[in-house]
Amino acid sequence: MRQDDIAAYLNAASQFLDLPIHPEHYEDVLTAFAVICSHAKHVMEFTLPVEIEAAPRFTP
Amino acid sequence: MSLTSKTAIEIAGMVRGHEVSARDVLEAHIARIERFDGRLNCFTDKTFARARTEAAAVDIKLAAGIDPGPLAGVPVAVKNLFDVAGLATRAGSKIYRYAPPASHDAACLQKLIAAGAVLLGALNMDEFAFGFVTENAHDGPTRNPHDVARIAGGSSGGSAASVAAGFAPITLGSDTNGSIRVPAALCGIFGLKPTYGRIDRTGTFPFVDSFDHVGPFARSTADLALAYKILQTNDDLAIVPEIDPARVAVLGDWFADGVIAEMAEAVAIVARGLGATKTAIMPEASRARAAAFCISAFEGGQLHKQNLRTRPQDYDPATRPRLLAGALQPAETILQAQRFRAWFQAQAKMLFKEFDILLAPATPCVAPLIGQKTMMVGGLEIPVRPNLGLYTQPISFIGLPVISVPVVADGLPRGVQIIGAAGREDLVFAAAAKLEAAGLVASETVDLI
Repeated sequence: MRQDDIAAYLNAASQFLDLPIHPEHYEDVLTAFAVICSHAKHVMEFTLPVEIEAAPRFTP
Repeated sequence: MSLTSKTAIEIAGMVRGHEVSARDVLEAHIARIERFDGRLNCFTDKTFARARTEAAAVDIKLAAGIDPGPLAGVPVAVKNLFDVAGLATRAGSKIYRYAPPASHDAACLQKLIAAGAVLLGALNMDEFAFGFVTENAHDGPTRNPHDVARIAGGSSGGSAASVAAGFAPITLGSDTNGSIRVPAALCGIFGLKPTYGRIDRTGTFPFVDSFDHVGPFARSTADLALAYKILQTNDDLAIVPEIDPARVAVLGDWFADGVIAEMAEAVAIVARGLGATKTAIMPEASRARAAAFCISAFEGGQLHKQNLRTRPQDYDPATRPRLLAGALQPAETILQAQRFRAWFQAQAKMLFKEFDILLAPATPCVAPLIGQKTMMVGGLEIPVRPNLGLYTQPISFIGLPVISVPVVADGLPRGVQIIGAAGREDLVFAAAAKLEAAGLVASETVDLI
């Protein structure tokens, strides 16, 4: 993902989730989000068998 | 040997045998803390008045012929995310330092006190346990007793440095991605991250519910085992299993590629000590680390969302951007990461059909300098703060029990992870004890001047 795309997502998500980012903190958050994106890409590109369920399970 | 150099078992034995009073043990530890903690910055809260009351109670019980318990008169301290009655549970933060005080001790601490321990206080950590360095913007850095220019590791840095410095023979910490194993390794002591769920977290400030563990630090495997036995109920460690060298392997791939020579040597020493000649591959460990990274930032961010909205300026500048960014991740990443976690756990279970014990470095390097931003791993210059847990994150991701053992070697301390299958703390302890008996791993109180 390009840096511009990351910034666009971050701005939209911040607004949508009502989690504002103070201008003074913005560059650090953008950098942190770019690092997360690189990890997320590594996770997302792995093909999992369809039967695999998410690890946390609700136990009634 | 001074009282502050003795193990918990030695102290409790002397107290129960009327060789020394709990009061004298406590005063020796208080004197050492007062003399040296100004330099190390382990304690954020000192509970010496309470400790004197608890030590007096131990001495009164003994005088009356009542056994105070297996930790009779043993001084302990806890990371400041554990509830301590009468103290605000600050969890390394500015935000909670003036919160209403806890009404009860955390469940773990209650068990230690019921076993005869006395509480010295609460210990420094990375803000909200989100870090590996204990360079806390509000409370300052905790310094490594082996070299005060270096970090103690984190996030349970105050807990590890206290044990190494002889402030307490046993402390408690928490480990979400490596926060017991990293500081134990960098401070040259033993640290146990138990199986996920094995030790009760009630009364501790959370970070990532999916991964949070609590556990003890000590300067011997026997002390670590005693603390573990007191803190949990379903594993008595009475039967010590034999370690079969054919079922011990060194983890390769992610855990070995690019490892610096000092750390490779430490792993080799432990492997030789256990007779291990095989290498095992935990498939996709780098992706496990990446998934743990995403889930941690997400769950941590969700936990703090309200305060991030209303008072972001009160967060540590090193914590704030990662929590904010984490909270804003798309749901598909977290679902995939949690699905991947189930897949990765299945791979690890298959590996444990062939092996009982797996070995890996605890950290990529020895303790970095305070303020050091980057380190060299595999020929690459990478940031220190998020990467000291490179080798610990894939393991806590699936909740396996691990002891980080301090390897006897020249230079600064180095730790190796002894990893077992879920619920097999007995094997992990047996391996650590075998290495300690052979003199290959050991920890002593650092000689502070």
